[in-house]
Amino acid sequence: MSAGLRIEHLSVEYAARRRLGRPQGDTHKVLTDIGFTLLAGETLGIVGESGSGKTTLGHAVLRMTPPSSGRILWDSVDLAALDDRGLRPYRPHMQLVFQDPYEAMNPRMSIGCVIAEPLILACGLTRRARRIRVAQLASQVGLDESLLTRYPRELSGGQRQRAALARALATKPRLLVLDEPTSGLDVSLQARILNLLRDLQAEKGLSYLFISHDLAAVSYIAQRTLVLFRGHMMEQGPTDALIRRPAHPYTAALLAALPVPAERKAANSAAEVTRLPPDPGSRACVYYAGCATAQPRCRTEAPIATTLGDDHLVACHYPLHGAARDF
Amino acid sequence: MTDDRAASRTAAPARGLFPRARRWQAAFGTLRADLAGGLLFLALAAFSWIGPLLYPHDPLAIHAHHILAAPQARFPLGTDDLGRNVLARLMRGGQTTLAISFVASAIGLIAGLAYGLVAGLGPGWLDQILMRLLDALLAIPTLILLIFFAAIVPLGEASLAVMLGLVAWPGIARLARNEARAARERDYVRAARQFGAGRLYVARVHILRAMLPLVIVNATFLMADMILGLSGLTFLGLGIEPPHASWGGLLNSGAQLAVIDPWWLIAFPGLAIFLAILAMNMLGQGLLARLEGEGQA
Repeated sequence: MSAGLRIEHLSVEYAARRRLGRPQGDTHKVLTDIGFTLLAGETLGIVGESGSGKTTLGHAVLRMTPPSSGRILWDSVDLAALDDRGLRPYRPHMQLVFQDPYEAMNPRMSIGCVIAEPLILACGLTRRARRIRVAQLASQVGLDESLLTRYPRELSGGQRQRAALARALATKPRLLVLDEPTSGLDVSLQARILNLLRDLQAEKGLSYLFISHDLAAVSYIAQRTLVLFRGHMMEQGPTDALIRRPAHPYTAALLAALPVPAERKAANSAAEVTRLPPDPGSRACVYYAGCATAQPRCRTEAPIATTLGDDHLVACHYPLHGAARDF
Repeated sequence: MTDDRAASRTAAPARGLFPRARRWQAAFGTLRADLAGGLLFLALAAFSWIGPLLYPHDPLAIHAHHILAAPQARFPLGTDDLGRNVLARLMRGGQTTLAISFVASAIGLIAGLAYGLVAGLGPGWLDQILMRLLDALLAIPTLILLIFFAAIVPLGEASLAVMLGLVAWPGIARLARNEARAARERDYVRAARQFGAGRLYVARVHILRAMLPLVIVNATFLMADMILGLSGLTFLGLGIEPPHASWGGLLNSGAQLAVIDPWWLIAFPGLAIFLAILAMNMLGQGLLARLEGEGQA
């Protein structure tokens, strides 16, 4: 198995406050015990609501946010154990496409310079070779060459997203972390960017970590999907299976929250559940408070991820289906 | 950009209640503050450096028979209490005043940028220490600090420039520090770090470039401060020492003879200082307005 990226027990915590650079007091867990495998040429969708830790997960994989524990295996090298210097040779392998492409570009640099920046920093190309490479990157992402002399504010949202993509591709990465690449675009543009991403993947054998709250986009592009809730993995598995037959009540609730054309909308009213608050001393399931099918056991004991077969994992004591009951 | 300007010029019809006011506005609207300030400053510099070539008179020569002469054909701006030519002294004084102020601004700018960038890009504890030091320094009034320095350092053109520059840097330092702090949280800086950029690269390419326009604007205001500071110090007798001419020194000699009221000894140096500061402030304000306009576009 030529695993491209393998994440094991990854956790990220922030100190509640820092003094003189040292963490003080309580820590705030942003990600808890995340694990997944992303094969070369594959796409893993990361879904969850805002604040669920999706972006942090993307940044932690690239070591832009330091993980507090766990392993990030890239070609069986543990990136989590390397320091800044040790990471340097691996940086070009994986790139991030930022959530807001406008924020991710220096407003005083032309688009051409923006795209050329990683080339200047990572590969020692001559000025001439760089210009050729930038033009080539622009044509790969369908960005008109005349736009290279423009400034970020002069471009439309779609053009900016293409430029951001071109920049991320400049170092010939094998993994792209796409942080909500379509969230700022209108629907027709979203489809074009998604198709562009698919084409690039097929052409270059790229792996994508596709972070989104948009289940439709994820189901279009991702073979596998991981559902996050408050930094915990709820469910992961093949996207089709996960969407057709969600095993975790939270996945089901996410799917039910999708806007559906009126006539198809059945009575999927997610009634607010009122029940005892989780026992402060015990380790309740993080989704306990919102779960529609929670049992007394969920109040005292956090579920461990168990397999439903077919690479389908669910962190629930009472999955909606499957043979995982009571391991 | 040129298209826009041309369009707005043709689009505005010269009608309305006050057509003449509009014509005035049209005439002065095109005269930009930064351009006017820059030209005024250039004129003052030309007066100081090119003037002596056209009016070659020794600013130190004493005309014993013409002490405190009012402006006349031979002495266009009169003479001072030792019978020295005020016009010649004003020109030479402009050279010293402007040159020292310029060097002082450059020193203040470079020192402030360096200090601010170190604080802004360094670790948090260093930032805390450097900024508290700056606060402490800012708590001491500038003039007191200058008088203190003047008391312990031998006065000369070079030491004056260094002294003024070292008093001037805190404002620029704070500006640079804040810009750097803001910029390093920006996604484009994080992106550059992800591409393998070091702190120096980030400081040079992203942060300095982002704040260069603001720095230029502040440098012009700094220059105005320096002219005023130098003139004030000299007026107090702590700056450029007689017999060397400077605008502040001329003003001082006029003020000391106020009983006799030699108005030419007060009016002309005062006007020169006023115009120089006005020019720098107009230049700065105009550039700032242009910068903000650019930000909105």
